[in-house]
Amino acid sequence: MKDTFLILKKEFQNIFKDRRTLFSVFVLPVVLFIVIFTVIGRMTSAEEQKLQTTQYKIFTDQPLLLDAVLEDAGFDFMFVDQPPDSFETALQNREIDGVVLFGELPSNDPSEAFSSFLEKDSPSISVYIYSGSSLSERLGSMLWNALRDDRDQHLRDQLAQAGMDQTILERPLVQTINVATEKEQASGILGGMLPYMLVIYLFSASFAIGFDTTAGEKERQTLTILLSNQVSRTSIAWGKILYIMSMNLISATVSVIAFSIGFSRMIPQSTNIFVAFSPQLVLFLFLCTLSMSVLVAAIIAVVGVFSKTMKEATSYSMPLYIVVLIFGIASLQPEAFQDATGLFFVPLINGIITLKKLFTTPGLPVLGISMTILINLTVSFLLVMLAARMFSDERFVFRTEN
Amino acid sequence: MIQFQEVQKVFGNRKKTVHALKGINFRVESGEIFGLLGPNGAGKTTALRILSTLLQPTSGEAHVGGFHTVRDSREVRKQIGFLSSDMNLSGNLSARDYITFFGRLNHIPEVSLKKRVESLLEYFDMKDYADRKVATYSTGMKQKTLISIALVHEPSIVVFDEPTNGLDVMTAKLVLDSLRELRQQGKTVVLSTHQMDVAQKMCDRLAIIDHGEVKAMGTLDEILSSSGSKDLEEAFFAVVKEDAQ
Repeated sequence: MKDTFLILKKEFQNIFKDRRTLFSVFVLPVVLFIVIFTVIGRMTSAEEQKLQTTQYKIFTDQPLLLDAVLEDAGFDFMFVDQPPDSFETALQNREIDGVVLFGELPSNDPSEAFSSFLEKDSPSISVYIYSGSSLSERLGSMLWNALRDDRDQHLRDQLAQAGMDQTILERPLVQTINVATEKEQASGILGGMLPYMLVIYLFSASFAIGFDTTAGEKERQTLTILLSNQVSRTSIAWGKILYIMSMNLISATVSVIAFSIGFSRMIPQSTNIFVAFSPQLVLFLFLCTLSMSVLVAAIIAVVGVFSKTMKEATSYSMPLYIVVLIFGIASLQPEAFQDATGLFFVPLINGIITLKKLFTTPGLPVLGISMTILINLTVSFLLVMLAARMFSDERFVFRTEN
Repeated sequence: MIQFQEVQKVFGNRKKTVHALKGINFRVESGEIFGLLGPNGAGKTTALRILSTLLQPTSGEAHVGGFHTVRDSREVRKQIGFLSSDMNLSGNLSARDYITFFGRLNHIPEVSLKKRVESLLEYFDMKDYADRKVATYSTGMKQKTLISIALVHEPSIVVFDEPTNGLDVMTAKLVLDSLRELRQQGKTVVLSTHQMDVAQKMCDRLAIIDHGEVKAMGTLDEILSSSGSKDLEEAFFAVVKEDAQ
C-alpha cells in the first residue's frame, strides 16, 4: 500500500510541475466555460434587443388595414411601397421581413376594413416569412398574434352585438400549471446535461494522462526502471490507476463546476441550478462518479499497458468512448432510460443512467446507485488485477515499437 | 553469487521465433566484475533482463544470491541495481526527485536517504543540475542519474547493460571508476559491453556471447591463451569468426 501511494505521489509531483497540464486541467475549463457561456448570453440578449428595437419592413396589399391591425402590436414597422418582383427572393435577400396579403376588400373605409374583410365568402390572409432570418421569423410570430387578437376582438364585438356572453370564447379556460419545485426544475436541467458532461470529462482527462503514464512510459522507455525495482506489480498498477482516477475526478469536478457557473451566467434570470444539490444528492453523485472514475481509470490502464504507443492506445479506446458517448447523448433526452433496468448491469453505462435518475426521479434511487457502485467497483477490481498481471508479463511490458 | 543454468530464451509466435539464448551457463562469484562481451544482437541484454527478472527464461534456471529469478523475483530485485541501455528518463522531475523516489521505493529510512542522495549527487558531480527537470538533461547527465537510481539502495549486485554507450570520455571514465569502486566495496558487478577496451580494463572474468551461445569464458589470460590471441579484440574476432564459419 505504501508503495502504491509513493507511485501516486511521484505521478502527482510530476504533473504539478507541468504548468501546461495544470493550465489545461484546472484553468482552461473554467475560463472556457465562463467565456463561452458569457459570450452566448451576451449574443442572445443582444439579438433579443435587436429584435425588440428593429423596424420591420413589411409589404402588404392593404396597408391601411394592416396598419389598423398592428396599431397596438407593440413593435415598430414600416411598409414597403413598391411590390417586389418576387416575394421569395425579396425575403431571402432580406430586403423585406414579411409579406401580408389580404386580397381585395369590399370596403375601403379603414374603420370597417377588417369587418368587411371578414364578411368575404372565404376570408384568408397569407403571411410570407423567411425562416432563415430571425427577424422575419420573429415578425411572422408577431403578425400571427396581432391578426389572431384582431379576429378574436371582432368575434367578441359580434357576440356583444348579438347579446351573447363574450366569455364564451374563453370556455373552457385552459391553464398549464408546473408543479415542479425550483429544485426539481434545476434537477431537470442537470439530469439532462450532467451525465453527458461527466462521461466526456472522465474520458478526455484519462486519455491524455492515463495513456501517458502507461503506454507513454513504455514508448519513452521509462517504465523499465520502475519494473526493475522491488516494488510489486500490483502496487504499480494501483498507483497508476489511482493517479488516473484522481486526475479524471479532478478534471470532471472542475469542469462540471465551471459549466454550472458559466451556464448560470448565460441565463441569470433562469432557475438557480445550484438548489438541486442537496447534501444527500452530492454524496450519491460523488459515489456514483467515483465508481465510474475508477472503472474508466482501470480500462485506460489495461489498454495503456497493452498498447505499444499512446497513439495505439487512443485508437483502441475510441470505439468504447463512442459507445459511452452515444449513451451520454441519449441521456440528454428528458424521457431517456425510463424503463432501462437491464442497463444497470452494464458497467459504466449504468453510471450514466444512475446519474440521470439521481436528478430526474423523485427520491433517491438507492438500489440503482448501490448496484452501479457494486458492479463498477467489482469490474474495476478485476481490471486492476489484470493490469497488475500485464505489468508482470514481458509480452506486454516489452511490446514496444523500439 | 549469480548462476545461469541452461538458460534458453525464445521470442516470437507460431509464425516466427527467435532463439535469443540457446541454453547458456555461467557463474559469477561475489565481489568480481564479470563482463558479457558480444556483438549487437548476441543475447547480452536478454541475459541481463533475465537476471534482473524483467524476462523469464523459456527453459533453464537463473539464480541471484540464492534466489530464483522467477519464483523469488522481488527478493532478486532487492539485491540488484539494474541499468539497461534501453532505459530513459523524461518528465518534469529532477535527478534529486528521481533518486529520492526510488530510494523510498526501496524503503530506505528518510534520514539515511537524504544523505545517500547527497553523496550520489556529489560522487557523480551532479549537484549543479540536480534540481533541474530531467527532460533538459544531456545523455551523460541522464546516464549518471540512472546509475544513481540503480545504486541508491546500495545493492550487493550491480547489473549494467552497456553503461558507457553514447557517453563522452569524461563521463565514461567516471562511470567505469564507479564500477571499480563498487568492486572494492565487495559488490558483484555484471557488465555487458561491445567495447573491447572497456571489457579488457574492467573485467575480472569475461564471457564472449554470440548468437545466443557462450563461445568463450574465463579470465582475460585464459581467453587469450585458449584462442591463441595477443589481445581481447583478436580473441573476440577469432571466436566470432569461428562461429560464423
